[in-house]
Amino acid sequence: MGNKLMAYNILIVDDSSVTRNVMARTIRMCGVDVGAIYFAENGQQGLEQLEKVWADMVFCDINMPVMNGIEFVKVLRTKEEWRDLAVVIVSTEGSKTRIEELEAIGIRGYIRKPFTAEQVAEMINKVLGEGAHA
Amino acid sequence: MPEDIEAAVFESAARVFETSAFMSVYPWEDGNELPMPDIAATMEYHGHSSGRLTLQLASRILDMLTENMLGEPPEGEDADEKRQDALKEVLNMICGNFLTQWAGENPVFELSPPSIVDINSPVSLESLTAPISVLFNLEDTCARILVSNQS
Repeated sequence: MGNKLMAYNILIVDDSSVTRNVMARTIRMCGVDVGAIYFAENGQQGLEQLEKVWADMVFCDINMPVMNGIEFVKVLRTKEEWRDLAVVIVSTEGSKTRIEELEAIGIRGYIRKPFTAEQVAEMINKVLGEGAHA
Repeated sequence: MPEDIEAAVFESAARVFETSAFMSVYPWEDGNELPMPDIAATMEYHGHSSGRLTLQLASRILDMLTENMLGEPPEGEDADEKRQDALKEVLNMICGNFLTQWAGENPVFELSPPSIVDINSPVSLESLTAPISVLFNLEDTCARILVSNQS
């Protein structure tokens, strides 16, 4: 029997409260060993959250007011402490050009809305590894 | 081509309602009584081409939509806000999926934030009149997506 060494903290950045709630519920349901789930309504709030809390992974929308997801990731990549933070984009956009632009700035994955619980679980496993399971 | 737009809108709406809210979508059959949907949200897209999508539903179906998305009934002081947010997010997903299906995977579009339309207001006329109107059956109620596209 394995020992539970750690639970993963996840930050969800999306301007839709419904999407934040759906994503959090989906993460809780998909068998991943999750500690805290933090929320932010845009990239700026996401940066402010990261100043205060530790997150192992971020799910982030693209189109948001104040600071969008692309600007948010670009800022993360300029900061030593957040340079390697795993960011997965969750968006309605399906343009290959946009996804290539995001991959070039170091996102770890992309989930298209509407998403299923299986897609979210698969992505968490891919990014955090099999140890992510409770 | 308007027919291509209509097909892409319908398929995108069916995918979004079924995946995000477990709600069935069927083509609206001619001859059915047509009760007008009474709540709407609208948004614009710009890029390869520009235009506007408006989603209209019966307000009574919005409770089911919100509950199915959230996993609990919309209650409390912010219940209306939750319903409106659910409607706007569904429109946002339909718009993103429609644009990829219709224009392909290469063009990049900028999407405006969705907003709620006051259907009783004269200023909402632009949102509620459009050259393309796609009616569909959503859980045995009439729903409609209006598209104004300028290529």
